[in-house]
Amino acid sequence: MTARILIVEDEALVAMELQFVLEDLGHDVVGTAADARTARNLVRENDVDLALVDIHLSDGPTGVELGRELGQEMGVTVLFMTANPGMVRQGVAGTIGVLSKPTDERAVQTAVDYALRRRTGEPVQYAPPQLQLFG
Amino acid sequence: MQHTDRSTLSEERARDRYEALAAIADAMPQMVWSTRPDGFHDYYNARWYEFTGVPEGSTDGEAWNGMFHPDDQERARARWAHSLETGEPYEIEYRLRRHDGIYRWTLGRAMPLRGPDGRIVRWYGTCTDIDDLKRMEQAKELLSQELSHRIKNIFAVVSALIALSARRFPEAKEFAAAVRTRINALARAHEFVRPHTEASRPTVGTRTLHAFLSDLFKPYAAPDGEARVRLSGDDASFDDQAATSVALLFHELATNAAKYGALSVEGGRVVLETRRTPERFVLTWTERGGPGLEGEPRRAGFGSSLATLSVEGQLGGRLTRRWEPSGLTVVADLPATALSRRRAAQNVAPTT
Repeated sequence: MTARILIVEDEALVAMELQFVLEDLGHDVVGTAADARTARNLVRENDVDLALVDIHLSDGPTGVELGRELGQEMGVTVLFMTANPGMVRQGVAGTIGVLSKPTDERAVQTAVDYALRRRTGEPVQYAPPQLQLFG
Repeated sequence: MQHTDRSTLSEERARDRYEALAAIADAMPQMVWSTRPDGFHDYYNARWYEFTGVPEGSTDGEAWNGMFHPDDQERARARWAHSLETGEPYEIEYRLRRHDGIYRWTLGRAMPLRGPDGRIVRWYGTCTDIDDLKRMEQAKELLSQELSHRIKNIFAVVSALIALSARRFPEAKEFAAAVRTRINALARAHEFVRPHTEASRPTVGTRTLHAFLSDLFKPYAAPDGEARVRLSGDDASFDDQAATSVALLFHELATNAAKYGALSVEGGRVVLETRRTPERFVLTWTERGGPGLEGEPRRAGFGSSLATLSVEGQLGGRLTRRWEPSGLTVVADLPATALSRRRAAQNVAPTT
């Protein structure tokens, strides 16, 4: 399943590595945003299926609100990827869950797969073990 | 006549003593107040009037509560009522309005004075301005949170850097993956031992050894999410000094099991039992249901050296491996204090 994916991450190296992993899996990375405003613009200008969102961005801890907005108002499936998953422990409405960083290719692959299946309404029996689901 | 003289004298003495006490109270840096046994405020020292800026006598009775931040009034009223009812000392933090209208965090305390028959005669209380202290605490918490966040981020950057560097060299892929997973294991351990605030506390619940290990073993779970490494026995807390070793040891054991041992086949399982005795903390890793073993492997890998180094070099314990036909058993026998050495060191009384 090929998807259009947005990376929201302010560490360039982490973003680049993630982009390579996603492209290896056959996905189309529509862009990388280091702050919330850039992320919103990219979503307005492109069709985005899935956004991988870090919480601490270059404009502060704006990822939580951004994720909620992308998920609830802009029709994007949202997965958080953060070194501090405690920040979204209560869950964020309209988003799927959180993957703890650093992570590995396999964890990214299974989490992205799971999120895309949920988006298209395909039946999914089990969530990947490393992915903490909301609600 | 004699009688009247004596009573005048004692009244005078009482007045002298009251004035002396009031002078002491006025000299104190804290606000001091006093109430009747029923909680009716009838005395405040000069510091109270200076801080609040209200006219003398205007906060007598129950009016003191109106000086508190609206969000703290009910809590303070309830706490004070509880103390009046039970005679228990009163202690509470609330925001008190200063003369310039700014609310300052304040520590309020009060103790009852009892008469010879045990009945409460008066309550004496103080208010201490702790606003600067509170602010410093918050700043410290923020700084430590920020630092921790950066450390976790550095782990993620290093991990990404390794993966990116290896992309140019396909022959290094396996090597890079091995280094990366080790670094990721360290990052996970850090999450469990770093100073935490309410918001950053790991989602897994507690910060014990078992909680950390079950998090570390998550990637090895069965497809339905059921854990394939089962933890049992005594749980323990562990500190930052032990975190690296514990993370590396069990990361190596688990990856090894996933490659060659019980976790390499469907249905294979591992039981990890942790036992505490007065002197030792023993962790026993038992693999079952894996491919049959034919004795000790001929060559020990670097992972195996890392495991030994972690236990014997860093934690001061012994690591023994037994290759039985039914599967590998590894025993890490540690001194009881190995997992929280810093705390153990603090608890030791100095010998003279």
